[in-house]
Amino acid sequence: MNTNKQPTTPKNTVKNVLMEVKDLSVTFYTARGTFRAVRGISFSIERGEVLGLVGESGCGKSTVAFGMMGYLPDSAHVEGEILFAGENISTMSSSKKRLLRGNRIAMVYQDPATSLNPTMRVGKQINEVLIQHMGISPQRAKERTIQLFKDVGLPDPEHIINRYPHQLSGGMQQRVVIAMALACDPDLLIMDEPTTGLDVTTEATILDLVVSLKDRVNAGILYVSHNLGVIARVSDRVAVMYSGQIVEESSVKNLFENAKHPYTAGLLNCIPKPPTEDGLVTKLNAIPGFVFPSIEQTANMCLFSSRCPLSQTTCLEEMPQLYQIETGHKSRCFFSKDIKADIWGVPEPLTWQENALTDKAILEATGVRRFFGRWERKYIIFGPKVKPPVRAVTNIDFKVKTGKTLGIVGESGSGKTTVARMIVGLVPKDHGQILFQSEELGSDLPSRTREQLSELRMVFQNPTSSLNPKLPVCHSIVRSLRKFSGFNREESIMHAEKLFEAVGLDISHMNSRPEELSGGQQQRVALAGAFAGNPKLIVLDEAVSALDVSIQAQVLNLLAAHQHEFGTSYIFISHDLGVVRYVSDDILVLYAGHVAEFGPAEAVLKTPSHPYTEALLSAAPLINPKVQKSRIRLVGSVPTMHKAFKGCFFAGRCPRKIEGVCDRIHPPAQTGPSSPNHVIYCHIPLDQLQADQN
Amino acid sequence: MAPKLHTNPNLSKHLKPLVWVINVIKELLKTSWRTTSGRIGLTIILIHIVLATVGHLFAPYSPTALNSNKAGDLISLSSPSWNFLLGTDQLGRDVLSRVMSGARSLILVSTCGTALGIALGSLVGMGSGYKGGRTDELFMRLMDGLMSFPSLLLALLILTTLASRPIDLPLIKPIWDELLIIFTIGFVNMPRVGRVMRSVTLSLKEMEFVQSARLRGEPTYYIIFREILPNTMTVVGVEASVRLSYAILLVSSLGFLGLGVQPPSPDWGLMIAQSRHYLVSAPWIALSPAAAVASLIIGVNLFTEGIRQARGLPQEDKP
Repeated sequence: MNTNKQPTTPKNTVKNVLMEVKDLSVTFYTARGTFRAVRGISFSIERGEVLGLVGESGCGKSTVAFGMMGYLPDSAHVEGEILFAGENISTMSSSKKRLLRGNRIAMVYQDPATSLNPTMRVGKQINEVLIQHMGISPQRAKERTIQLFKDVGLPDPEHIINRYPHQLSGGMQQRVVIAMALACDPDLLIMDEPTTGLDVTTEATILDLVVSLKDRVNAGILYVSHNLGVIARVSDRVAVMYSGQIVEESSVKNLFENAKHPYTAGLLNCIPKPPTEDGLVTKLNAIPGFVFPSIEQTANMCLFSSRCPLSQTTCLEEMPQLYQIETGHKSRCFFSKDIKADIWGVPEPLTWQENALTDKAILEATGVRRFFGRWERKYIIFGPKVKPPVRAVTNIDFKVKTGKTLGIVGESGSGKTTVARMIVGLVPKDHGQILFQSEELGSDLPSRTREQLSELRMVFQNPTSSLNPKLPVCHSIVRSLRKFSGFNREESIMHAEKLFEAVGLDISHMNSRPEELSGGQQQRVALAGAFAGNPKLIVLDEAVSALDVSIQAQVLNLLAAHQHEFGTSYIFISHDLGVVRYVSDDILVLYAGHVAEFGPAEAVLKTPSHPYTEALLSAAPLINPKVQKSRIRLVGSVPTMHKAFKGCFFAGRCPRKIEGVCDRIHPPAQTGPSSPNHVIYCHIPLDQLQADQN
Repeated sequence: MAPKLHTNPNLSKHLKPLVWVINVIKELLKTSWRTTSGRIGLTIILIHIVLATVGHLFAPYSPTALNSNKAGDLISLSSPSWNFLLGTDQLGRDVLSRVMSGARSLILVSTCGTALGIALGSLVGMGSGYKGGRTDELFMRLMDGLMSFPSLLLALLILTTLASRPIDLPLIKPIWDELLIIFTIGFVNMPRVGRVMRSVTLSLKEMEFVQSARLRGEPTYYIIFREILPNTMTVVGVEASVRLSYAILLVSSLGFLGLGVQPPSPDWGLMIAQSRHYLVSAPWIALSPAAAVASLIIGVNLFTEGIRQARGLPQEDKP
């Protein structure tokens, strides 16, 4: 197949527009109504550049990506043009589209597990693409596959080609998918949230790969993501989408330093930032209100005006154009000249951090352990023991201080959720002791008293599944009140209304079904349910991870306000170090069911820190593109925990491993220099760690 | 689907489950009505129900009357004519009248039997699925054991065992036969419903709303009935109508074997059984009740198909 490759041109000398989208609108006609997902957007991608498309869920960014592949369903009505090398994709015949896909335009999807065929060896899947599209011999296809696997940084490609997808970790699967996308030297690569389902450490390595691809591959890349930090890391130019429109387009540097649309400025304000040098935590400035509904067909007004602090009458009467502010920087706002970083208000410091200076522990866990499963024997009950139990959490100790927040971080599989479930009693502990307000907690729910249940609540990750879809949303709140506060039905409904208002919801939603509320509203209902019964400690298991940044900021503010008012303690579990850093007073770093580091937040975040913490910190994407971070990258994934570790639990992946020591002897607990409560489990002397890390 | 939390404050607490069941049935009917097959199925079922309830009023003859001609001879085995649209049977009874009124006990018994089966099966399935562990293992092996019998054989076993004991309670005695069949149908259906309900419960009990109910300290029965049960309604609806069609078949088979309604009351299964000697000379006697049974089952199956299509559920069928 002749792909007509352009000769490689030095970057930035010749403008070489690959794909041009002109005034694209997409409308979905469905049984539930007509939705206008994309409202007239235009942009172009050049060869050798990465265009980041960023926006919150429902803004139409994925629709754009699918439209560029020609993958939109029949219910979608497309207006405008998607020009690829001068030809309009949306009107192309399907046989012609098929020639483009894979050959010249390739796509990488969010979930690598569903993009790969689980019944085929990964090498064969790519061979097939090569033989089909490039028409080369099987022998040459195999050579090329190995080369591709080398290019995307897969270790030991000769062996990996013979593996099945389930034998690879998520990060490796995504590398295979990227290799498959690159197989036919595409001109345009579309990546739709390729790192969203992955751990931070894996995400960082994939982002490194994308950045390096940009220089090696002579293609344009469209990178779609909801995460501003990720976009800042990989893109050259950024287009910010809101309600199906591009509201701002500029170079990455300009966007993050000099945002010229109130929405972009607001988004940047919403991202939790680490405490400043003098230890002040600033309140997040959440964007109030809701996204402009896509069911509205036409609008002759600024779609952001209802949430904008600068909104004036002009904004309601006329739709602003995408005005050129300076070369390469456009903004869809009448008042873009007035936009400064502080239009959303000067961030106020959260001053209440000091007024609860008790160091009394509300919850104290010592030697807590949980193994899942039993020893499995070869012949059900006879024969040798073949499969040991999974050591999910192994003898960990930690404390939660009264009125403070303990953040728990770690990759998936590190045991964070098991710890949370053991505390609330959903998963019984095998060993150890949990003291709650100086009383020992029973390991399972029936052994706990009603007071303990009401004082120890939990909020789950997925707001949609934490509310019963067949019952009104107020159900869980009313039940909690009846159970814990002894109110009768009428009183509980009255109190539920108060709680509803306290979390910023309208009482009219009380009897709605969960499906009628947005994700953010559902999570507020879940919070109201947790607040009912005056809890002393709330365990938040990834409670804000599924929410968009602007909604996440609202929920974080709500949590902070509640803590300030009632002195509630939180255990805040998240894989997102940025959020944990923002909310926590103490941080517990878990790895493979072991404590890597535990101590006051500022001590944990500063050097010296455990090499694993260091890796997590350096992997977290930052929104400031200027900051050059130390690059520690972890290879591989959390080990399977069937056997007790001989030496240090982290030795298998540690970049600072001491041969002969770390894999033989358990690491000692070292007390950090800045605080006596700061513990680091590592062999390397702290002085040396500090010197290495600075 | 379920009633809202605080509407109808005057309604007594005990009526609530009933209202709820009615709402669920209404919802299922509406769902099925949205598709073509559902509409056809519902129409067929409706015709059968009307015939079963008021059919005897419109029947040209009494279903048990032995018709004779003016000379006083029985008009037996008369072929379909204008006088007897579907002919007469060996005793000169009008087949049309018998078919029209023969559905009453069949529909009643199989519906009640299915309802009992759903209730028993849900109880066992949800309880065992929610409890898990050894309890689950024990109950499921028991159910497997029951399922290893062919349904008809199991039904015969239960019926013959129970029917040998005479009953002397004044209220129950007249309907004792029907009660026995209802119980048998319920019992035979229980393991199959139980399996389905268990698998739904297993996936639902991992949901976070169930976990949060456990964290509220709700008792097990509350979690099962208030939190899990409402979410199983589509499954229950589909399962109920699948079971209903098998129940109709089973009741007719029992009638055919002489274990159902006793003669001379009209019953389709019994009619087929009695007419099998005349299959060659007078096929209409067997054909009409057989067609009636078949059309009722087809109607129920089309109704099920309608729910499946409207809800986008996969096609599946197990005996």
